[in-house]
Amino acid sequence: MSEKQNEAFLSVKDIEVIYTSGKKIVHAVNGVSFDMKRGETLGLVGETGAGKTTIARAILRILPDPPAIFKGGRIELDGVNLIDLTEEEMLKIRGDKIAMIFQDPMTALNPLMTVGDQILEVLQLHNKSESKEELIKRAGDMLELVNIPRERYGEYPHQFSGGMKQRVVIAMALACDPQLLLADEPTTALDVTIQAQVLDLIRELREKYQTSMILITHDLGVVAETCDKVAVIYAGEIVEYGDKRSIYKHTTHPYTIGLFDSLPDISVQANRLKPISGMPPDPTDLPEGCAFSPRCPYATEECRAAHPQLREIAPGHFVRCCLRGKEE
Amino acid sequence: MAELIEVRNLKKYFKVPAGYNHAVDDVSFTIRKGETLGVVGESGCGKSTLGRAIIRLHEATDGQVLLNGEDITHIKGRALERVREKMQIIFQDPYSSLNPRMTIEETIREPLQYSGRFRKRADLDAETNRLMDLVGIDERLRASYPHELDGGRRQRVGIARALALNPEFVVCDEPVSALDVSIQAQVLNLLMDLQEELGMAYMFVTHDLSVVRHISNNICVMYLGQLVEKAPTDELFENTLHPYTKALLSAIPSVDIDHPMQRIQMRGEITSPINPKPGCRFASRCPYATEACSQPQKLEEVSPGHFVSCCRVKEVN
Repeated sequence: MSEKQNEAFLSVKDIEVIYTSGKKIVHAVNGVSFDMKRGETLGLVGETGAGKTTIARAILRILPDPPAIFKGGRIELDGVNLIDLTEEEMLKIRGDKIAMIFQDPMTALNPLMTVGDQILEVLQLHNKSESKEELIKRAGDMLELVNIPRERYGEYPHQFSGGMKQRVVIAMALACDPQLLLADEPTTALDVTIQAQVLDLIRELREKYQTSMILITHDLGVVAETCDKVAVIYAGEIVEYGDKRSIYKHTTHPYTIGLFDSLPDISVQANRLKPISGMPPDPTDLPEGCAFSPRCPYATEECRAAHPQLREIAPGHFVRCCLRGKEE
Repeated sequence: MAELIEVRNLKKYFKVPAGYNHAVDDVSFTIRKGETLGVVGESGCGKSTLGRAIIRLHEATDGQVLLNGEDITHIKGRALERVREKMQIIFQDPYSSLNPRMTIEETIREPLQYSGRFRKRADLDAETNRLMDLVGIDERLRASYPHELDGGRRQRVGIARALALNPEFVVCDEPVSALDVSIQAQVLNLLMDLQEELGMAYMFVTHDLSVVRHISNNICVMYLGQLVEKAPTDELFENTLHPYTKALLSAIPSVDIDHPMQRIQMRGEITSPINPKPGCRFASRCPYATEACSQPQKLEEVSPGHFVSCCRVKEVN
């Protein structure tokens, strides 16, 4: 047990986050736990509102408070519980040890600063002892790393296309050689061809620097190409977790099965698609038993009555389902 | 066969400070009654402009649009109003295409009132109910406002509004791009069911090749304002010819972890559609480009119904 804990470089335990909205309480993240080894990539998959981004923001401690309230749990990076750190200590970790790539490159960059200076800003914050000239050179190196010519250091974000802006955001995130990268839908706003280029770049850089990454996406194809482990999130909980192969080849949770089924398959011409019926639950009023039971084709009375626990159905493959856990 | 829509050499240029943006540049195709044409391309390729130019939301710079054999490119006044009832559009973003201050009922009723087809209030209400039922919007939501609905339901309202006057032709401009996959499948099924029931033709504009495969009879692939490949759906997927279509297909991340797609590397990014040079517009990114590609390209029929605009199509395949 203790050996296993030492192995985990990031350990997230039972985190719970709520948002207050008037008198209502939004249960955004309800007891999420996972461990990551160094150099690993974890895909967080789920639909809009499932709580994926809230998990990432909780790790970086950038939840807007209010309305968000961190109710409980531990987030350990190299054995240090980030929740116990002061804001000042956290500032040193953000951008240095943990960096984030935001979804929308159009709004993540400052329109009034040149792209080079935005990378320089990150470097200056975390390398106070080095000279400005040295850091400017390193900012230029970062641009080249993401295949943007150094000569464009002095240009503004509006002079770049969407894909190039996202590469600038990636350069900023990687500037201080972080140990953990949180990528929140990094390619969702891009065309498929540009998405392919950006994913290739992220993969290359990860291999080169052995950075661990949490990739948040709703695209199962992107996960298949990029991740080692997958956590499927539904209504603020992990409903299925395991390595990529067990999730893709031995899909077990009815929600995950539904997600795969509703994808239009490019390799066959089928007329009707198989959607998941109904809508995701209202996070201010989650169902009593299994959160997926109102949409689940297999749901029984038991599912509606008791909240299922995450069960290990095969080594390393966890499923939160009353029915599926038992069968096997 | 009955051609519902015929587009002949349609051009739409926008004047910009640096010259002209060739958003749609010499595009021709036909759509038959009850069929779906998929138009695929990256952002900025002119696919939305094309859809809008056909239904007269943009004035064409040159070329013709025929509806049931009648030239509607420059009609005005009453004649245009009559044509507008037959051609509708479903917009991409259900969050911004609905009036936030109108209830769902008012939104769907508006085109019915405007048409003057329903004299009595009772008829109007009955028709509004029928439309809500048709697209699967619950009765209890009639007095709700758009912000109270999720994306999937909002898009259903957009569909009900577009179908209110029984159009013959509907431009679907990325109608499912803003939706989650599970909801996307619901809306795509709805669109296909409605087509079967009501028999209208769709022009389905999207950047997602897997979505068009499901819904289209024929597909046009667009690059910087021009068609580069046009074929029946199965033919396009089984016998892809144009280097751009191939690259586009290979860029889609596959969920099959045992057989990842062999990616065709495309250099750089989409170039500017402002004052383009005469040759192939894809040449600067094409892995197969040679000298010959700087000559103007023509869309040529290589097998029945399969058109490609690439001078090196034989060498490449």
